[in-house]
Amino acid sequence: MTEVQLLEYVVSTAFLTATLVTIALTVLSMALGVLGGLLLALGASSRFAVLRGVVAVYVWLFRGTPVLLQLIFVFNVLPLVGLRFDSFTCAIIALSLNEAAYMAEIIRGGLLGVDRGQRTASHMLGLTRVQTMLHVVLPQMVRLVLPPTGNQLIGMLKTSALASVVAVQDLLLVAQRTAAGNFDYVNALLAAAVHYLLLTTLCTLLVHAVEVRMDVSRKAQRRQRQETRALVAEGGRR
Amino acid sequence: MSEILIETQGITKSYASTTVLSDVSLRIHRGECVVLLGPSGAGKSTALRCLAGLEELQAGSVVFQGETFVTPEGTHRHLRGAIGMVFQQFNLFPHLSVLDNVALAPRRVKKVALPQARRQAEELLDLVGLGNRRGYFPHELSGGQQQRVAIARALAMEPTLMLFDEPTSSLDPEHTREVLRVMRQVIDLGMTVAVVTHEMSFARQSADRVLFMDEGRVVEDAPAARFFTAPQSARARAFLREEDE
Repeated sequence: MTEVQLLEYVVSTAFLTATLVTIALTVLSMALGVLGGLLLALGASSRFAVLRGVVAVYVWLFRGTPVLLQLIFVFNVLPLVGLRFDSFTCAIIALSLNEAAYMAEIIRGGLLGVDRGQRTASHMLGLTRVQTMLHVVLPQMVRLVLPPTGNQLIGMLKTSALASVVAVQDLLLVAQRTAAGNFDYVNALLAAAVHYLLLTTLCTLLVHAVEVRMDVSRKAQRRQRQETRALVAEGGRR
Repeated sequence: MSEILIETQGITKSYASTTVLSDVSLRIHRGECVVLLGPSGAGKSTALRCLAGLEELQAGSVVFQGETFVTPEGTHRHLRGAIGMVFQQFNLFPHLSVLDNVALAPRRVKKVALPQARRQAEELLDLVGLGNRRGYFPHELSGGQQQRVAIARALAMEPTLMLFDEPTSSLDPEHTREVLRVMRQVIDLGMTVAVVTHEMSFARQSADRVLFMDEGRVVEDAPAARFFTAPQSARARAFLREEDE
């Protein structure tokens, strides 16, 4: 009964733990990647040419080489210069460095998408550069970059499987070991696929929920509904 | 005449090879309403943006409240909202409600507590006739309403000078009227005002003085009554004749 075997794998402690590892890899790498991408994007739109140059080289380097190469490089080369990390940390480092390059481009586009007039108006109102960034530009940029960032998140969930190469006990590695141990490739790999699908579906829903929350026109609709209810209630009282 | 609030001293402004302003000296006195008129491309908006400190100068300087404000070296003073500006494209913050658009700068720049900033914003929205729209977002408002919010937002910083850069150029006649009415209210409050506009009726009724510009120069600087009845320059006469047609 392969269906039963598949189900047993899906709910087994080994697979559930591995799923948590994959989630941790994804969330941490993505968070650091977004943070790094934001810093890089701010650097790319800086007044200082040197900073812009550094960012350009960074993006060129990390987008121009395979993530897998970067991962193996971090795992094998950093110890040579005395930086010794466990494989999980190595994976986080490589994945987030790589992600930062992509997020930098996405966020840079988002910053460019915010109308210049917004900055001029903020400046005339007396807001400092930092205040303008914090209260005017970033909130608008976030709405612009949310859909592509959702894409990146789902991409990261799957790319995190590369960590299995440096022996991180993630979903793919556990699936492979289970498969090899039990001579049951079909069910073990399918079990991993089920978990990945559940996670990507969850991500899609999550991103959509955040988009809805941030959508100004939905906020406006919510207010209109409240006003209508208030009017109806008032009418009822009369 | 009362004290000079802001003046430009021989400012020159050019982009690459085109000179937009050449050797422009103009002054605005406290409590005055000055309207900048002239054909498109005359440099009116650029002159206004220079007053606001938004443009780099190639020569000359802007002096605000007796202090050097802008020189070719840069802007020397952080205004903190002392010069309010209203733009052709409104430039409201789309992610904030109307009330928060008005309250943002007082909160962040003047560190006014939120309840007080909101109360003040409500008063200003009442002033521009939008007290019942405080929870709305900019995209729900008509252009005229958005521009009135923009005026309230600038007033919230209690500026000593208000600059209007073609405030009604992207509005239909009805919304133009409602914005001009609010601008007149602002003038009646005693605010010093400089306006770039194509609304001749507004200039006739509300301006104390007209600066007529053409090809990057101030061609005529006259009290409004005299400018409209007896313009001195041939260029201004031609401009007014065209406007009448």
